[in-house]
Amino acid sequence: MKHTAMLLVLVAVGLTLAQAGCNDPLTVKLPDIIPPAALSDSAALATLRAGAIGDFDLAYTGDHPDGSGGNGEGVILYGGLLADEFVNSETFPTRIQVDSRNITYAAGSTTNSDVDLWYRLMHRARRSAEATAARYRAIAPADPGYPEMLTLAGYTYIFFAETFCSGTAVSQIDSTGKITYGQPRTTTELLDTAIARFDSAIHIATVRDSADPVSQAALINFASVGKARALLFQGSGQYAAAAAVAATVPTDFVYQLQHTTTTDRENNGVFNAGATDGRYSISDSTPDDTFPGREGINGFPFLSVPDPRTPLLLDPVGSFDGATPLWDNLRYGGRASPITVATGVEARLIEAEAALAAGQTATFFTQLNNPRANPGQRAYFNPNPVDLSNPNTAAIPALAPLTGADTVSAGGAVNLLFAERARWLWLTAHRLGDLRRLVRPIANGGYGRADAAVWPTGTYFKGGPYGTDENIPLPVTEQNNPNFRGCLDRNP
Amino acid sequence: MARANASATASFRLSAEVTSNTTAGVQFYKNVSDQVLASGRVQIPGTGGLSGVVFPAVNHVTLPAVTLGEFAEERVAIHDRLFLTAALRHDDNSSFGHRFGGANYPKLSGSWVISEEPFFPHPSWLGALRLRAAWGKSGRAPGPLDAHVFSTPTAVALNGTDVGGITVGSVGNDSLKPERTREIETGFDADFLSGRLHFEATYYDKNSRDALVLVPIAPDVGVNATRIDNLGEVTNKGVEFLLTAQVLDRPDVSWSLTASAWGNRNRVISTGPGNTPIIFGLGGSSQRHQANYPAGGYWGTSYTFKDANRDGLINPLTEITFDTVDTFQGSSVPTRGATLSTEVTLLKHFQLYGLLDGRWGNKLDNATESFRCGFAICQAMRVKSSSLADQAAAGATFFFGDETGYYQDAGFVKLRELSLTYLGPPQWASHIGASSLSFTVTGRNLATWTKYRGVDPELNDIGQFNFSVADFLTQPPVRYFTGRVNVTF
Repeated sequence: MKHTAMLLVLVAVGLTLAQAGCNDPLTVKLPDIIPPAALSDSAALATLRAGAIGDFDLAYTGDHPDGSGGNGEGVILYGGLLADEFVNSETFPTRIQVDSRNITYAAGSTTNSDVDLWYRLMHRARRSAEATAARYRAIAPADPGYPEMLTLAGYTYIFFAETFCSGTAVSQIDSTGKITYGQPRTTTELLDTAIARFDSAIHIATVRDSADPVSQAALINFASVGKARALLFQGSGQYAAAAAVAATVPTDFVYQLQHTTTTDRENNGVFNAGATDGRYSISDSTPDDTFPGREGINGFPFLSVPDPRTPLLLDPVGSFDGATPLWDNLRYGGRASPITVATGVEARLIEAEAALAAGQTATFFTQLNNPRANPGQRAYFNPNPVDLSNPNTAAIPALAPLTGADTVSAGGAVNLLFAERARWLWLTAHRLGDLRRLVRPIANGGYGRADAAVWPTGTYFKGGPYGTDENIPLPVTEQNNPNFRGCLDRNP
Repeated sequence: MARANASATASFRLSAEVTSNTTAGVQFYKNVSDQVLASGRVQIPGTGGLSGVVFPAVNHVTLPAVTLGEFAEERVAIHDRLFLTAALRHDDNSSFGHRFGGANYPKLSGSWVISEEPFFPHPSWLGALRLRAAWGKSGRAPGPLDAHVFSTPTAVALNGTDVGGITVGSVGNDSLKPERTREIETGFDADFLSGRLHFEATYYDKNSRDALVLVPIAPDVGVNATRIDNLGEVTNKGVEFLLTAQVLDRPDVSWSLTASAWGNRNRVISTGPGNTPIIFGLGGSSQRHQANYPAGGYWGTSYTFKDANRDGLINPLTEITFDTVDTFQGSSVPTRGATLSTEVTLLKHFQLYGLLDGRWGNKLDNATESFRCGFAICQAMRVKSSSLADQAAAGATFFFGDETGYYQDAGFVKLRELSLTYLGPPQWASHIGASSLSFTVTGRNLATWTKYRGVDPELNDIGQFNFSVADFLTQPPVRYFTGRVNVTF
């Protein structure tokens, strides 16, 4: 036993020396990751802001469609696919479900894995913008980045409201990884949250950023267009309020997301989805058996009625499925083309809609014709890049003013208004919300049109009938939020 | 990798009947995985390497893991028939959450060759009998980054150039603990008929707390799709049997048999605070960890169907009725199994070996077929004579995203291997200076008997990762034959 005791003493001494001789041997260096401590001071705010803008761009524009590398699609793509801006030109059943308005739906949710991806990217953009806004509030509340982040967050709430069914929840996670699950929110509640974000941004920019009037105005305009858009989607009862906010925004205002060719994530994903990957074709590209050249009978005639605001090119390489003609958009003609999020033209269109609802015909035409007559003020919609060998990439010229005759030829002032919106706001994640507003009951602030008169309908060009989806259901993975109750409703 | 071990053992004879071995030591392991991936887009004509690309991209991942363990063990042998062991190990690891200090793993075991005791009767048919029992705890550390909260760098186009930004890397888990398993095992080994028959029986009861599982995160949190978390409590109870028999042992013919069988009952006792089900799997919701059910079991909405208008076709919109809640559909892993192998040697030169393997009690998500139905190109949606059940399954998945109809019985028996060996005469070997020479022809995966309707009941698209199991566009194990020459020098 004496020997055992001596042995144990020796081992104990050895252990002690081993522990003492190493300066915390369990501490390891992780050079490839960024811990929270590295982002805690004001020097990191520019990095946080860039990250939030990058996440927003990914959720808005995407970089490559699922299946083609990259990170996924943005709301411009999938919102336009469900609406009538794009048709599916590839083989994924998940996207075919969306294009044909037949998204699998049971027990309040969908098992469509692409919907899961899209929804996740948008929530990541929301969280990133809100977390960055919180850092600005704590460290540099007077920095213009603060209202900018609030405004980006506000837009994500608009996209949830306009794109998905009612019932989106918003959960929070703290710096230790603890999750606090949120309750489902109705579409109205999401819009209210968006408006609250925009109001905060406008207030903060107005009060604290007077040192740079140009930046200050841009921030206020950015939030104002968002607020006006949210009010517009709330319904006709808010049109006047929307117009009042929009009236403060000049036509030449634009908030753009920039792109480069450096990394896939920085690419213009709308360009890639068509010209690079061949999975999304501008609709109107495939004939159906009722009206050659239109998607599902009612699809907007982007091809059959040419317009310099919606320039197209029949891609000689062809589409992913090898069968669907691939029509590429030329507004975003390259990987580095910028994309608008909010514009002064949208403000004019909102004013026009409010005027129409109020019976102010002269104001209606004044607002519609404002951007038509002033090319210099809405140059941000010009095709990019310009290809001198292709006249479709020329700058959008001054357009003839609209008159009462155009109302008649369009089949009514509402048709004319929504056609102008479809052209100007093409591929900027507006069309789905517009189609929903058109079929929403008048009593709920919509235009009360029949689904079959507005949405793609009849026989889907890849087989079977069109379904009835007017928004995208929530993904089934939301069941991991214990408060999840599925879509609260599928109302337009 | 760096590894350092220091240990010392002291052996003593405490008395004529009792010997003691005392061991203590420390172990230090450090593993660093350092990976650099480089790629590029748009190759300059005439170049062939990364330096010739216009848009290079690089990704660097460093994953260090350090374990520091200290242990002590005492083994006592009494009469060389009874062996008792007690041990304690303490592990600390760089991958544990900051709030977690370290883990202690005690162990007790005993083995008793009772047939050698004087009091034990010695029937002629019993050769030896050993009783054994063990109790112990063990652990498994998380991955190097699993506990860390971090962001990853990303380039962002701003102000006409590329600037540095960040995006979410991992939400981490500051409280991440090692997975700890307590196991009780007992059984016996026995030899009969002069060693021609050997039998082993084992019963085990494992209780794993804080199991490390990849847990999905609801999208509305706005972070990663998953993170490693500690699952509350899981039990595994089961039995294992092994029988080996030398059926014939004659100069020109020998025949041996080995049979084994096992059964396991897996249950999730708790998923943690709140006991919220953890939902995951192919498509996002095909599997669950849910209390009182097997871990990773298949879940879905059951349905019934009826050809109400008797037209031989199931109209998914009017002739399928779904339950209102998801229910357990079956285990995703086998719950029992058995193997039988045999070896026959003839005329001292020919050896025939065969192995049958069977597993039962589980289902497999035939997502390959449901995927086809998602395109409306599966048989059930194209062939009018398809069974009503197949039509209902296809309609349920096509129109409602319900894959329940494709969770199929995956029990099977496989002829895993059949081989024939010719043992060459010693003089053949001696011609080339070798001591032995043999030729073997082997066939593997030769036959499968199963009710599973996909290509193979053992398919998994992501290789048994984190309980996820599905047959989805995956290559099955192929049947193949090999010829082998064994030369021993």
